[in-house]
Amino acid sequence: MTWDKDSIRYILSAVAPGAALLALWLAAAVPDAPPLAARGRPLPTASPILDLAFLDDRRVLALGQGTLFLYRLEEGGPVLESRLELPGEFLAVRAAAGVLKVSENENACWALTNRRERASLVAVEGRRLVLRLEADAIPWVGTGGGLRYRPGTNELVLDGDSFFAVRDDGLAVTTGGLLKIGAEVRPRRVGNAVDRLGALVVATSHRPPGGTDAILLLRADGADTEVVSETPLAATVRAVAAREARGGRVVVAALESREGETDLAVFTIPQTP
Amino acid sequence: MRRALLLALLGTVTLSAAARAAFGPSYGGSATIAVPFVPQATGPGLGASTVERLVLGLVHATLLEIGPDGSLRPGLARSWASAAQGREWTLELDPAARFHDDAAVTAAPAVRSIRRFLAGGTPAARRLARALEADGVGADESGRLVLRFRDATGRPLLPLASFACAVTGARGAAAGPFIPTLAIPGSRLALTSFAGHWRGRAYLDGLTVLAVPDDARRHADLSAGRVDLALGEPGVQASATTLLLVLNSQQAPFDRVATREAVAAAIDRVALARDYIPGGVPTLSPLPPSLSGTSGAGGVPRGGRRLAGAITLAVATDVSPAISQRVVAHLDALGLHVTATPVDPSAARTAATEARLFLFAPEVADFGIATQEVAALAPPGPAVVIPLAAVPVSVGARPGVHGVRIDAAGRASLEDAWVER
Repeated sequence: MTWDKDSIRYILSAVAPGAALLALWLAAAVPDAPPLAARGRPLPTASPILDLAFLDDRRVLALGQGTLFLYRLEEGGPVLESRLELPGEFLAVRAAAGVLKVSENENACWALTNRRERASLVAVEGRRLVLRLEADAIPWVGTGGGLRYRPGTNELVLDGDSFFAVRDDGLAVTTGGLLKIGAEVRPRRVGNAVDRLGALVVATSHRPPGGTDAILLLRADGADTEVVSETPLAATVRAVAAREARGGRVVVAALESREGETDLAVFTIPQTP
Repeated sequence: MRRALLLALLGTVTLSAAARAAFGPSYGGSATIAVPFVPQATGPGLGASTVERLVLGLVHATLLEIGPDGSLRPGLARSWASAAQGREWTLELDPAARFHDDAAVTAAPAVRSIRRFLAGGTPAARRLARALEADGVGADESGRLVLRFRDATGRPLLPLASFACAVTGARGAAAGPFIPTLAIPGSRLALTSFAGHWRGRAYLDGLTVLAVPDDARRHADLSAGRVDLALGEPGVQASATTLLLVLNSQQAPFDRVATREAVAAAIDRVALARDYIPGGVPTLSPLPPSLSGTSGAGGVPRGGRRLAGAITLAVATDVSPAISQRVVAHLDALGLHVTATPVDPSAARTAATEARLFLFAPEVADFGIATQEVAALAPPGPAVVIPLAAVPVSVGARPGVHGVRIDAAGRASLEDAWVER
């Protein structure tokens, strides 16, 4: 079967009816479940994407192994707006990883990958990405050493603790695969990518190797972390970014195929009563 | 195609150990793999058995590797190109490549290692030696490796993927993903991750290769979680070895064609594969299905002819006793008095006994080289290699252990193995 030009929405309902059924089943099983719906056409990327972050309602930053990309989200799908090669020598690491920290007020972001020795502060000037400065680590409020990678690994180190993912709103994934919200490590296993979406948390699944994955929507009320919906995918979700905007709730995901090719896909979450 | 499959029902996707994880991989921790025996040495070599190939892959690195599709992949050499109408090949070494003693992998040790390989005379080395010009291995002024061939031939660099051609430094240091730290001959080999590996350090901090000769004990140890991995247990597998019975046509009673034919016809390959080899398939091809593309042909055993005489059967130690006892029973039924002698897997390929029983895996995953290798197993004279069954190479893992791979040459790799913490 060849790629249909319509959208992932078409694939959900026609190519993989089971996926749609599972999503519907989950939706029925959990009250207020808002399953994901694809928006536009996925865009192949030139590099594996290690992290994603919204710059504003319409633009997303994507961190490759040595490149930062800026995409604009159109109705038809993401459009590449700019790219910037990050400075520094390439480091050999078996599992590539990266992290972005956006400062919307300054229209800039910190980018750090374990394939480069130093973190880069990149500003967005109009449609251009401009390197501002470099540092040994991403500055982090309340910590002396900042956020950095344990050399030669995919483990982020913050205040002596190790994580697979860290967001600046207190959301993190421990190297044991547990979700951390604020100071509290929840007994909820997730994958390597996570982001906050208002009162919800968007996360990838805690699945062993197999080329399959899922995007989970979690509600973290009190001590409980409840699965609101789970959208199974026959690809690995390498990175997610989520945002509540005037146009609705949007999730951008980097989907990696078994062959190692990456697509940037945009999903919307219909508002629920 | 791949885009159409991006979203599909979870349960319809086949699991693959090589696939990237939704979670992980995690660095750190250690693992123990149970194997039938621990090799006495870890120096570059042919790798006659699955265990030897496993250990060679942990300790050593080659200039080139062979991918699942049979194509050459970068190893210590990150790129290669031909000139002079395909008669000259230049390999550029990865500048990040280092030996375990932190010395850089440069053209000088690579040239020295290729010369050592050529002198070793393995089937792949003989093929390379025949193809190269006299003194056709050297380095250019840019530090690149240069190989000059007599003629332009197809895939002339394939032999460089042999473990016998692993590159070692001036002091013998290897460049693989793990450094041997403690070897108790025959019993245990401890290794630690090499932080300077050119692909990045391995996920596991440490690895122990532990000899557990008894099949049932290995199974029990894995089931009970006393070991993390076990060779020969169900799990990741590839049909990459062949059980061969080789008869010495220079010695009685196999100097007679009729005797050899009687042996070849009497062994019930179907029953042998079905009842004694988990995952085994009867075969008439000496090459494993990963190379020959054929399997499942067993033929109908024919008995009746009575033979006489006493023979010694050299049995490689990695052949399960159940299998060798079954083969001996077939030979006994023909009237032969058989004395089975266990021998090291590499010795089984050359033992001067009347018959030999061993698992064959090619030196490199290439049909042409493997065919020459099989031909070299038999002494001059009529063909006496009797293929019995295709035998899978398999590695079982306890839950939470991932990343084990096996290639078409039966090389089990733990380079990307990791454990959930």
